[in-house]
Amino acid sequence: MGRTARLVLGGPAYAALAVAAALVALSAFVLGQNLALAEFALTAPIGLGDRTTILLGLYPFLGTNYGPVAELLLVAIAALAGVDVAMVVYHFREHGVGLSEGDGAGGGAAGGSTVGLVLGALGAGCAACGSALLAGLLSLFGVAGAATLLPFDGLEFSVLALVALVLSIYWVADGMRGGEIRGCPV
Amino acid sequence: MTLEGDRRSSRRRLLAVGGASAVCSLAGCIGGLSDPGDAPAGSTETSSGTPTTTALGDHPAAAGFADQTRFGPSPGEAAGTVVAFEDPSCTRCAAFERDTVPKIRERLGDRVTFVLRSYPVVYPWGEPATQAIESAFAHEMEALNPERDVPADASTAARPGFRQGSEATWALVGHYFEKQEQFDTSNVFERTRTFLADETDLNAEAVVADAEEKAHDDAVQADLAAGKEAGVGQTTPTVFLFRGDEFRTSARGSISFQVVKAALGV
Repeated sequence: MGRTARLVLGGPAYAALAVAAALVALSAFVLGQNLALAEFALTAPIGLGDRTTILLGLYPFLGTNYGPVAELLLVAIAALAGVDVAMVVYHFREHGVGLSEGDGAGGGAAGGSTVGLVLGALGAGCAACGSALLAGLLSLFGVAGAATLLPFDGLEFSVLALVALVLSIYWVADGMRGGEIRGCPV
Repeated sequence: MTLEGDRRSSRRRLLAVGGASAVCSLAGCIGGLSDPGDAPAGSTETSSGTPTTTALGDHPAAAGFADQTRFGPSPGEAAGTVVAFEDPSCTRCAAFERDTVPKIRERLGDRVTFVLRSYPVVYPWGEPATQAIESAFAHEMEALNPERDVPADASTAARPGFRQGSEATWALVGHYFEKQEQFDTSNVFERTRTFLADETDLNAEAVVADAEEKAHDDAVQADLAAGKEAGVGQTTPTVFLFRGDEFRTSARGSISFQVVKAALGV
């Protein structure tokens, strides 16, 4: 898995795609938590300095919205989402496979990756807002309030998302086996 | 590749792009607004795109804010007003109180009114703690000596150190945030009683008895109703920022002092 990811990211275009996707994912996570404030920062008649201060202040390590563990998890989830997207796009472009299960193992891997990305997104959202979101999600299954019994303020769900993304990348890499990546047989 | 194959490939790419977009959208939306009813009131734009503003006095988050625990100038007389909905049991609220609020008090205390509204929605012990906060506040206001404690004029009220409910209520609030890990539903009243007796001039037994009987539940419910009406939902801390009489924006989470200052423009 690691070797496949390194080979894909060894291409400058895919490395750039991974970084861009990670930044987009991270921005979506953190700005999505504060839609009203982000909208204010982008549209209100305030100075560029204040605009920048508000927007940057919402990101992990630059602002104070998240605890250290949540910050690490958010960045890790965003980074893995970037790697995942780059690998899926590589898979689509170079191997000509798609999301349909009927396309065989490769297609299944890409489909699994989509599931991983969705779970990753859910987990990142949870890392950002703590137990409140998890309580909301659990309430869908009639167990609202269960999140408050969890010891880490909902970060458990983010760890699960991290695992889902790692599995997702593993499945994509597995689907690439038997082919060539940038001329190298995997 | 055949024409059919090309079409399939295009469809796959479309699905992939659409899926990625959906993921990003999902990630962006899930934590902020869990349902339409959670949309913060007083936003600067309606769903139809028509710009609107809500005055401080009309904003649901500020309902009855003159009677709340606060520091800074008298309500309505400051350049800026911060209304914060916080839960004593919420860890990010503790971070906000530790990292941001002291800077607001020290650096903007003469220009910004900070209003604390208790909003217990996170862990179960936050609810009895909130009853104790409201009870302590009621007892403190009852014991207020107008000659000594009420500022004679606006300049005194604007003094950075002046706080409504400063002697005991703020101390109790700070105690909850500082010692969160030591509290649970079984010991919150006992620990509150000990703290008030040791660290404040309030009648600890009377305050805790009132809290146990929910004698000031109307104040708790007023905060909860204001938060619900303002769209706080289940997220604490949620902060509403006003410049002068005008609502500017709301923020979720333990935003920094720099963000507060930039958003208020003070």
